[in-house]
Amino acid sequence: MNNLIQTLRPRIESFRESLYLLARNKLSLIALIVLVLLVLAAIFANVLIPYPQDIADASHIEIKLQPPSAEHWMGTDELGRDIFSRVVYGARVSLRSALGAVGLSLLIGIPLGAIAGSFGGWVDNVIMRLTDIFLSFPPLLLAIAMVAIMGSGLNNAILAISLSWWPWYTRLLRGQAISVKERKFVQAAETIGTSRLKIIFKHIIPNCISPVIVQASMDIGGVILTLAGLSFLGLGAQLPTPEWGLMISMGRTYFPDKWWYCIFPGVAIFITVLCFNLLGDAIREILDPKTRKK
Amino acid sequence: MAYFEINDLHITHKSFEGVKDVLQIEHLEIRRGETYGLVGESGQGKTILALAVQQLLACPPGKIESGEILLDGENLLALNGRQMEKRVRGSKIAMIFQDPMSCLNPVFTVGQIMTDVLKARGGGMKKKEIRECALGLLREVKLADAESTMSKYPHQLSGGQRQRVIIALALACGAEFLIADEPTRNLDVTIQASILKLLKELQQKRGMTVLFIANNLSLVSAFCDRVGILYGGRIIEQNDTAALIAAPQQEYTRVLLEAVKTESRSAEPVESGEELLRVEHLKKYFDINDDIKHQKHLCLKAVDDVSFTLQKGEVLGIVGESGCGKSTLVNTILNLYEPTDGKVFFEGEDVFSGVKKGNNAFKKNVQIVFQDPYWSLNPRWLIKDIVAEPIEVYERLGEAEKLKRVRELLSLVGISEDACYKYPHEFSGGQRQRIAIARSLASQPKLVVLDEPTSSIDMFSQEQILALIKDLRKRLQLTNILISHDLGVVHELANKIAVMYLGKIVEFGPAEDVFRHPVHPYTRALFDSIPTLTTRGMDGLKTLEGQIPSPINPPPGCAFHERCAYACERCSQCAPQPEELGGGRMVSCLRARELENGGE
Ligand SMILES: Nc1ncnc2c1ncn2[C@@H]1O[C@H](COP(=O)(O)OP(=O)(O)O)[C@@H](O)[C@H]1O
Ligand code: SF4
Ligand SMILES: [Mg+2]
Repeated sequence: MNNLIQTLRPRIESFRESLYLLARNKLSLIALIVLVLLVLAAIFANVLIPYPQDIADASHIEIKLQPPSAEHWMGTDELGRDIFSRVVYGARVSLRSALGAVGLSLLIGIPLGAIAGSFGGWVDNVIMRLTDIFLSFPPLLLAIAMVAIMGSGLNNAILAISLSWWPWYTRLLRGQAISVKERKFVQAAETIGTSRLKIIFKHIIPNCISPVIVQASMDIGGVILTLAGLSFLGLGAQLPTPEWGLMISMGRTYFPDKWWYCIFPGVAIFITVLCFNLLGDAIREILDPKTRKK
Repeated sequence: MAYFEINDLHITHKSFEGVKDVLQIEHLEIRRGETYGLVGESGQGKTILALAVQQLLACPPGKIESGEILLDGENLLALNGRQMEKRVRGSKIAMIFQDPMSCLNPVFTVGQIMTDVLKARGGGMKKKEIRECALGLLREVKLADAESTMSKYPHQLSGGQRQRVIIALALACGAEFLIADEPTRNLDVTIQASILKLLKELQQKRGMTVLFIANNLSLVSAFCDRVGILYGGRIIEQNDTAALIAAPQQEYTRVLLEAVKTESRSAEPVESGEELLRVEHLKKYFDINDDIKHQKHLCLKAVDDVSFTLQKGEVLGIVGESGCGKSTLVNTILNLYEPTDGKVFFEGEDVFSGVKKGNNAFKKNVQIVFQDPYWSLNPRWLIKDIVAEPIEVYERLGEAEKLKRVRELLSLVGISEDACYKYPHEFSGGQRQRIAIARSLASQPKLVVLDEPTSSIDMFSQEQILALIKDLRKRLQLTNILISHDLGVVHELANKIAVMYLGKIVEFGPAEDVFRHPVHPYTRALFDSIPTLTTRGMDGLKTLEGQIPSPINPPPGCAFHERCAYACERCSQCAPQPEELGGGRMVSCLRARELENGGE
């Protein structure tokens, strides 16, 4: 027990410091609060939304395309479903997919980058040429091509995005690994006799990860956009999933008369992406050793 | 009347832990033309003071609570940013920093940097005049080849040359007040001496007032008229240099004084007779490409034909200017670098062929402690994991047993047990170095290599680390190789000395003999360039002119002949071979015999 407290102490300490640094910048604090609310909404969507059956195929044609009112805060869509319910539930769909896609890219990208950077030589060459191939296509186009091959659907879209996204992390991590590899503690581990693999995973990766995390947290916004884009094109989420991009795509035919159908999912995307970008900036600041005390 | 004066200055620093006082100076005054030395360890607020004077202190987190800084009767703290920039910074106060590289923009040539500064201050000089002026300044700081220096980038210059460029920049605006913040830290003793000499000369010529910040009393005693001791953000003592050294009032001052006294302390010789390490004709050449001159596959002889033996229980001190191959030598012995040629025997076994066969015993028996303890400890590991790393590799121990061993090791180096669950950044430089030493001992090695173990930590901790190394050596019967450009450190610990110059050992022998009676001209020059407490002014300080030649194209004959005070005609033609002088003394110099017999 005593040990546990001791182990946790520095972590608590550094968490407190992170909060302190975060709270110094009002904008990032607001972004954090909004995102926390968003995540909570995503987790408790089932309980929160007023019309749970509307996230599926329910239809109440009699109240279709009604403007925002006390019962339907964001109006209704062409099947009379409550847009507010669908937008809130859409947070869950978008966040889960974006985290999944970024997580998968990290899972592929980090080890490959670390291995390329620390081994060098032909291993590095092979991995880097591979990333070159992936990076020579625009990511959205590559994702579209892959979905076209694998068939459309939310999961395939997630997979396609991860596959077009990992090379960025590989490159970033490789660059870091090359410089971290020269640090004395890696040399020290070598003189001690620590094995190569252990050096990579225990010494090199933990010291390269900060910029990758910053990049990833900024990318979440981008991935949400890309996913929405794919869904908008009909390649991502399929009806009746309440996905923001898909909703905009459906609402587009009724724009601008029935503006609420497009605008509210659009605003949801806008706020989420903006907050993730702001948070990415804040995280970079927090992880920057210069802003930390020595 | 005082030219520069600080009254009741109070500066605080705010972090998430709350507000902390970093500087509280009641009174400090410097008369016109005087040199004032401010001495203290790192972290005592010396640099904060220098930055505050220039209004360059980052606020927040720093905050100047109260006080005044008067320059020529004008309160600098009352000026706003624009006024500082136009009227004070550069034109009245110039500053020299401790790290010359970080204040020269790497993408501009020296000429461009100088021109920029001169343009900003000069007021309507023509292009040609500016160039003339820049050249004049570079000559004034005694840069050997001013013309070609103008077209070089900062990274192409050596540390000493960079510092000279910085000094030239400081002079460019004709400031009367110079703040030098540890200008010779991390420079070799030879270069340090010449930079100090230069500063003194310039000061006298231009009648400048100097605030000289240092962490070492002997530097200050040679250079300054008056000295103040900074401790915990306060000036605890100030006096005329001679008076302060003769009669220190504070305990802390006595500690600082003690730290720079090298006389009458040196290690006694060890006679174990048992050979531990033998290095035979070791060579390490690097293949390098010169991208600037488009020459491929140049050969850089970083270690060139080095042989020596080390007996059990001995401490071998390796000294020499930076770049002479000290680190490369030990890294090659340790097999971190692939050797080009030569053999190393450890306890009679051929190390290189053993390692090829996958024999890990050598790695377990030989450990190294690196120079900079900040980078040699993984910042993301807990101390207990750092110290246990070698145990993990060589022994299978349970978690509890491992922790017990780690605690033992930590207490051995004087770190308290609750360090286990902290991270490296929570410790000071000296403490981190102790932790690095604890780790190096974890695999119970026989030979521990210390590569500049004290040069990136402050004086006070240096003393303690040296005492620790001594103590551990006795208790654990270790053999050490100690690399240092600080001869004092080597003097205190080593019983054998190897002096290196351009990849070769030029003098080797028992420490006492070498220190008392250095034979090789390079060793002599090295010893003469260290200021001691008794050095007054700059006249007692001999400097070694010129720079180390490039190891890619070493001069023919004796590599040292261009700088050697004893060089004769033969020296530029005929390369000296190592010569035994008796008593275990080995010297590579054509005139070794003459010099040994008292030749001057
Ligand atoms: N990995 C390397 N590649 C090429 N040259 C190197 C390398 N390491 C060191 N050198 C060169 O070898 C020489 C000796 O360097 P070093 O052993 O670090 O000197 P010291 O430790 O005495 O300061 C220097 O000229 C340096 O530039
Ligand atoms: S050989 Fe000549 S140049 Fe070299 S150190 Fe001896 S005297 Fe000096
Ligand atoms: Mg070195």
